Formats: sequence, C-alpha cells, structure tokens
Amino acid sequence: MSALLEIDNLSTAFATDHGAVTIVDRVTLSVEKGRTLCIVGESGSGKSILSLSLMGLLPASGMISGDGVRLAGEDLLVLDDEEMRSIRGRRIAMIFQEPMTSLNPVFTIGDQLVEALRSHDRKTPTRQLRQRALEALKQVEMTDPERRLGQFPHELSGGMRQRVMIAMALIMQPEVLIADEPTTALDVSVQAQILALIKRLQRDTGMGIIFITHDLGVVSEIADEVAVMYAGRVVERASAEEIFRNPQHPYTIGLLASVPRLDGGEERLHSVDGIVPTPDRFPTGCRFHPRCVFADESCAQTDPQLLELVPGHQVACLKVPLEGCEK
Amino acid sequence: MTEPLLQVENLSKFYPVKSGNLFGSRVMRAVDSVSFNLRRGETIAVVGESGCGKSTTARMVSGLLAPTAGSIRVNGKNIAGVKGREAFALRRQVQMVFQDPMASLNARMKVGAILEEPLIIHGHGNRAARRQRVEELMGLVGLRKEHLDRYPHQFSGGQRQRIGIARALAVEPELLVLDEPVSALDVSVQAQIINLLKDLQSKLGLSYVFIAHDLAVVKHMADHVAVMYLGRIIEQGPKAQIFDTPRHPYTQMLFSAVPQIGLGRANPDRAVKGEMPSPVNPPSGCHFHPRCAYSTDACRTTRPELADFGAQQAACIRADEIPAYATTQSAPGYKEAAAQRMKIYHEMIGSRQQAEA
Repeated sequence: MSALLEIDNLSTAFATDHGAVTIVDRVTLSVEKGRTLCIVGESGSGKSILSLSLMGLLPASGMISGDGVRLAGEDLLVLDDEEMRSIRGRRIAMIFQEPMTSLNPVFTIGDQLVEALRSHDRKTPTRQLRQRALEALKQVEMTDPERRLGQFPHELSGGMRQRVMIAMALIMQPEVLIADEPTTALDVSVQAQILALIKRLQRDTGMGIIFITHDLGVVSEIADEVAVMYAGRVVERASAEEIFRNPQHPYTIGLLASVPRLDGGEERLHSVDGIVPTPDRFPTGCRFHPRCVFADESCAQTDPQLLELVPGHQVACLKVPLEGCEK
Repeated sequence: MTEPLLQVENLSKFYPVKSGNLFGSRVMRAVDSVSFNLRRGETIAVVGESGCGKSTTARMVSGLLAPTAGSIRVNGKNIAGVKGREAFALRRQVQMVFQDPMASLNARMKVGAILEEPLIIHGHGNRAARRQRVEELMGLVGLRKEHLDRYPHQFSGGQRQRIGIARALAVEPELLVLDEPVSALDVSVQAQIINLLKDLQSKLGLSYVFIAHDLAVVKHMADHVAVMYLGRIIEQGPKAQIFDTPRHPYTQMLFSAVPQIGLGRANPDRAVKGEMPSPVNPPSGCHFHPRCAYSTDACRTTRPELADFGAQQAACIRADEIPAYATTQSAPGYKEAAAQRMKIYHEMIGSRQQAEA
C-alpha cells in the first residue's frame, strides 16, 4: 500500500542575483493516513519552504523540481494553478505559526469561515454555510461558539485564534494537514491544549499530519515519524520512538541535549553552538560539519548520503554509528 | 543578616475600565498586592500564562511603569515614588531585557551606537572610554567587536538577544529584569542564551527577575519561583520545594503542560482545562476555581490568602487535601538512552576543547 502523501526527491530553489540557490535539497518523505510526521529543525533549515512547496504557495521566484509529490497516488507537481487551487484547502490544508497574521483583521470569524467554504462551493446558500461554520467552531472546542462567529480576530486570545485557524483548515475535511509551528507563539499551557486538540481531530478524521517544529519536546508529544532537517536536507529519519531511544546524527543529539527538561538535572544545558548557514554559504561536504563536535577532515569533503542504519532508521552522517552508539 | 537586594511589597497596578454602566468605571487589577524578595546574586522566576500580570510586574520593577500602590525597594531605597534626578540614578541599578529584540532594538542604529547610548545618557567617560566599554560588552556576551558596525537585522535572533543583554549591562546594573528573554527563540539558541545568562550572573554577581511561562526553562534558571494567576501570586517558594511539591492546583497544571520527552501525553484527556478569564471581570473567590479540578462551593466565595507550607507559600484553601503531584514523570528507557548520548556528546566537546587548547 502506498502512503497518503509521498514526497519524492523534492528540491526547491530560488532565483537570486547570484544564480539559483537551493533551499530544499532532494527531500524524500511520506505520511500515512492517520499518522503524524514531524519535521524538526532550526530556523533556516528549509522546513517552512518545504511546506509551502507542498501547498503550491511558493513566491514566483521559487522553482520546484523532483520526482513527485503524490497525494493518494496523484502527482501534484504536474497540476496547473487552477487544479492546484481546487486541491489546496480541500484536500491539503495548512495552519501557520502566527494566527493573527493569517486571519483578516477586518472580517468577523464567521465571515472568514464562510469564505473558506465558499471558495470551494458556489451553490449552497450562505445561511447553511454559516451553520457549517458554527459546527466547525464546535468541533475545535471553542467556548461560546455562537458569539465567536460575530467577533473579530483581535477580540480573541492567541489560543482561540489558533483554534479558529484549525477550524478553517479542517472545514473542508482535508486528507492532509500541514501545521507549521502552530504552537510556537503560544504559552505552554495553551500549547498543550492545541496539541491535544489536533491529536483528537486526527483520531476522529484519520487525516495525515505534517507537523513542523523546532522543539523536540513537542515532537515527543505528537509525532509518529520524525525527519530532522538541516540546511535544506533530511539528516535523520526514523519513528518517534527510535529517534528518542537511539538518536544517531550529531545534530539530532545536539537538539535533544538543548531541550530543558523537567526530569533532568539542573546541570548546564548543552547547546549546538553557532547557527544554520544561509543557503548561499552552505559548506562543502556535510553541511553540519562546521558545528559538529564529531567532524573530521573527511566530513568537509564527502557529502554524506541518507543511509539505512537499521530498518526504518536512516542517517546521513559519515561517523555513524558513533562510538558507543552502535546498537 | 544581609538585606535583600530587591524587596517588592504589596505592589499593585490598576487600570480604569470604561463600562457601559452609568455608575462609574470599574478597575482592572492587572497586578494585585504582589510581594517578594530577592537576594543578591540570585534569580526569582515569575511564572504564569499570558495576561497573568507577570510582564506588568516586570515593567514596574524596572521603572517603566508607575505602580498604583506598593513599594519596590532596591538596596533598601524605594524606587516606586521617586522622581527626577534621584530616580535617574536609582534606575541605573535596574535594567531590562525584552522578549523580542527585533522590536526593542532600534533598527536604524548600528550596534555600536545602540550599546553606546546608555553610556552617553548616564555620562560614562569620554568617547574613547565609551568605545572601550562597548567593545568589552560585545566580548562579554560572546559577540565579535568587528560586528559593531552592523545593524540589528544583520544578526540572527539569538545574536540580537545577546545585543539586548549587552545593552542592559552597559551601565553596570545590579539587577536585570528579563521579560521572557528566550521564549521567541529556537530551542537550540534558547540553551545558548540560558547558559550565557548563568555565566554572566556568576561572573558579575547579577540578580535576575526572570519572567517565564515554561517551567522547564525555569528549572535551569531560577533559585526561587513565584507563580502568578490573574494578577496575584498564588504560590511561591524556593525552586526545589516548588518543583518537588507544587501545592496549588494551578502550579500543578502548569507542570502538566510542559512537553516531556518520551511521554507522548498530547492526548485528549489532558489535564489543562480552559483559558485564563479576563482580569476585567475575574471569577469570585479563588480566581482559579472555574478551571480547578478540586474546587468546591467554598472556593467560589472565599478569597484564599497565601499560607505557609514549610518554606513555600500557596493560596489555596484546599492545599492540604490536594494529592501530591509528580512533576518529573519520565518514560522508562528514554532517560537512560538520552543520558548515554549526552555523555558521549559531552565527552566529545570536552576532548575537542582540550585539543584546541
């Protein structure tokens, strides 16, 4: 059986004054029905550009190449704008980090939900669509849903705005939801609620989810599969359980070490020193080698391939298995 | 017995709120009789959700906002009611670092000028002396002095926060008020900034008021913790006690919200319930009762006061009856596996540093 969404060797480049710059580099991933794939990485890892590529929302200077993005077997890369518009929102939907900038400040919540329905349905009377909008708000456990329909985004809290975004994304019952850091701007308590809500909606609808985050704590709450991205490439890929029990790539281990934990000691946090290089300055060889504590000369020369270490666990690192991490 | 560096007593900030009612205006109690002390060289974390009054408290302590009532003593001197020249001198002792350095650094000024500005305002030496101090500050926060001619947008988020910290340190304050300084950063960068703040504290003997909503971060930063809800402190005490035996149901709820690796608890049966109500119209009695799993009729009518429980204080009339809460649940296996990788990682960093030395 093939996966619900298959991303096959996808690259995204941007035309700049200095020529084409590749932001997403030959990424292969898949999401199953009812499962959650977490894409993990720091700012600049290419994870957001990857999700915009999947949605067909790249700016005009963006160029996609690759062997396909298949939704239930249908290749989205060959679709024209019109065909993609009918898929977007209806079969793949997306939620963003900052709901305040994604919602229109001058329209009520009800108007915006009706608008989302109207773009895929020209016939049904507005009164019926408004009823569906109300049901969508109830589905995301919004308090006082009737009143919310008439309110403006600024009248809602950050958590409620994110609930509206989720309601809007799910109103057409998409098969795939792409969530780009939907909880990063929220308090941990509201984050916990939103994560639980997304999980429950997934259980009810069977949608596949691509969840983008930089926080491995959040990953452990929600992921079934994990792909760690660095500088446009997938450097490690495994099930969530495997990633946390047997992290192999030095970058993954570094990210894990930098998460402050309640169950850890109070010792100094480890940090991955330095920052992700910009795409015009990607180093040769392994792109992580300048920040890597395990790197040697070979890492600066040889481009590591994503290889299967144990079944279902792929790592792109010349040094794996790291000494002491063989099992 | 040495006097605490900072003594905050019954600090309040009320705002008038227009109501449709003819009979006058109501008040919103953004901060309501908050009291805490902080000793030199230590950190108190003020924790709570958005809207709990923690940032308003921070702004009053740093002198950016005038309190409605109460006192803020730094080295025994009340800075709350002071004006003019005296306030200017006192204010040097307390500086603030903001959550979003992009919004709090002037985008049109070069970093060198940003760092020099407080020195000019406070009359620090001549031009050469100021230049020397600015370079020193860059080194202190781990930035290169060659970058003094750059603008804020040319730095990464973490580097910008380092600039924000350097600016706060320019006039050699004793107390830094840190308003969610790592909340907007990637986790990996967050760790760098937390480590930097701890290094600076031990090097310079600084005291911190650290505003946060994430208790896992607090664990790495604080000596004392004060938990706020709708303008009031509902629990406070030494970190060890708060983390071992959180007494207030709200503190327990905040603990349950922290994502913990390996537990996979994002399930629909999660404990976190509801959102904080508006401070304009707070619930009667205990403000937390509508969200509390343990609330009774008495909680609706009685306003709980902070009561002592050993070294900590909690404002809950049922604190004695509430079951103990394990803040450090951990899934079997993960902790060990992670610890082993961390050890290898750490050894590798150690041997690399040796090789470089």
